[in-house]
Amino acid sequence: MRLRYILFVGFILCSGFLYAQLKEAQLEIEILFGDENLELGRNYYVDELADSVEFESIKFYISNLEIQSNSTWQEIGKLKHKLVDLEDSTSLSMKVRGYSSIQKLRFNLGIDSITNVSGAFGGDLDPTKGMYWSWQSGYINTKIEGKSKVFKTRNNYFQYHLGGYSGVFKSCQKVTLLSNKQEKLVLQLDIKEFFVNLNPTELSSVMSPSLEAVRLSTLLSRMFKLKE
Amino acid sequence: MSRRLATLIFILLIFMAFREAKIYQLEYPNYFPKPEYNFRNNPLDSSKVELGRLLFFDPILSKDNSISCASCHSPYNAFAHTDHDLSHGIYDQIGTRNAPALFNLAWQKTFMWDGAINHLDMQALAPISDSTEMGETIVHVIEKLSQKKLYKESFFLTYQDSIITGEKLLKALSQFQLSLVSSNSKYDRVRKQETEFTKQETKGYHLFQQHCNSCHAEPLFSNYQFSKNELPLDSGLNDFGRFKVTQQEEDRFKFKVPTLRNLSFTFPYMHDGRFKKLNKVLNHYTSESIKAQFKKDPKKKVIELSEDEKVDLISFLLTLNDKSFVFNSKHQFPKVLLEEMKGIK
Repeated sequence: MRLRYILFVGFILCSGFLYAQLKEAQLEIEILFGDENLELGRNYYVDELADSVEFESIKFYISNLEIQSNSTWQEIGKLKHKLVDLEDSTSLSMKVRGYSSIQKLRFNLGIDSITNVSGAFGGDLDPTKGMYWSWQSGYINTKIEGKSKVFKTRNNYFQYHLGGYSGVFKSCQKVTLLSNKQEKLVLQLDIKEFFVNLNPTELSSVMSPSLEAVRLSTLLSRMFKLKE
Repeated sequence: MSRRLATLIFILLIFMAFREAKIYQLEYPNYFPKPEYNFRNNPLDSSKVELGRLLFFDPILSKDNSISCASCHSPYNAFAHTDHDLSHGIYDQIGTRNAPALFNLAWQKTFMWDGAINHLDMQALAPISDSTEMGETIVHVIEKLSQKKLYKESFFLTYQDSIITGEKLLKALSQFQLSLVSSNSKYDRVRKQETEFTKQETKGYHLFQQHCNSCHAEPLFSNYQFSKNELPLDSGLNDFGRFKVTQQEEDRFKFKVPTLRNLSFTFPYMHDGRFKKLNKVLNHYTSESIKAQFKKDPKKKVIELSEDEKVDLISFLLTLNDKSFVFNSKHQFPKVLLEEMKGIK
């Protein structure tokens, strides 16, 4: 009887200790154009292109977000698949429950292959979100659309719909970032650096799984960093 | 009084929340393989099958409310589009491929002639949004359905929630299509030892096993792989088959091997419906030009058939027709939809 009592008290104490370790951290996403927050519909002059650019839509999936603390990875279950949409400010901030000393953050930019072949899902993965191809199965991991006179296309439009889940067209990218912050993480994505590096004058649209989609996805994944 | 009413409503809500799903048992013979479809993510339920049937037959899925899934996949044609080489969509536009027959879909991994669709749940998105088929968007379809009392009630009864989402819509459509199992042809009755083949059918069966079974494998009569049918390119269509999906040179002109079940109801044949008669298909595969092509491919066997053997083979192929499937009343136009449509008028 006494042993049971000691075990019970020990269990309660351990649970309390572990609970104290858990904290609700805030993860915010900032989409930048150079040093400033990117605004849809605003003109940005780009020296490298000697012209301006305007963005109409920026959306991408973040999936399987995990936080590393004390050398173990903690899956953030509620954030299995998150659609980030610059037009929807609520999608740019999220609460994550993790251990207090976050050392690393890792996630997929896009949707993994297994989810891609597992049928219909709801929430952020519902095909009504406009991030699923209809003529050929697969999620669009990233959509970046806008216009610039550097493109000799109809209305100077450019459209990058990046996806592909199998073989050489697998475009989902793993991103791992080191953290020195604990309670508020700010994930930044610099679209200017992406846009300048992709050599836009030669590429106005990517609309299907392709090697170009993989190249652009890889490039975009390198533009993420955690705010110092 | 109002307290009693509130209690009653509360009890009713609790009852509905814990309502047992009306389980739908998918029946198929023991010689069928294990289905490919993962039913754990979408367990069959009679009310969802019924909702899927409503959606399948309702032209509300198309832009001008004129074309339903059943327009090109009619139950009387084993859910194919008999007598049309290529199907027609909204505004009488003509598509680029022959509408495939829909049955035994639970055993298929990929969909469409080129396998562009990787899951049955996602298949309906393709015809809904194709400009020559239904020309719609799933978002607008949901808006239209949400305005209909019939669908608000049906989704509520099925999902205990009247809010319609893409996931619920697509999974309900899958449920009806999964219920389309064809396994009661004469061939099946022979396998179940309920009857016997005639002498001619037996000869045809042996010829089938010798020449056709490697691609059109029993008991589903397709291995559901992709293969070159060696048809010359139709320059009006420029259809390169699976190449469009994979961009791999070896997939150029490969198309999904169709099932041979219910052939009498699903003519014309091939991906572009270019052959109206079965003997034309056999003549194609036994022609000198095809023999020459097959000799180059170590995976393929040259098919030699005399005229008598072709007749025997066709006599066996006709044993794959399943009239009980084609005329199954559970697969026909739902009466409740007819009443709804009359109400609109």
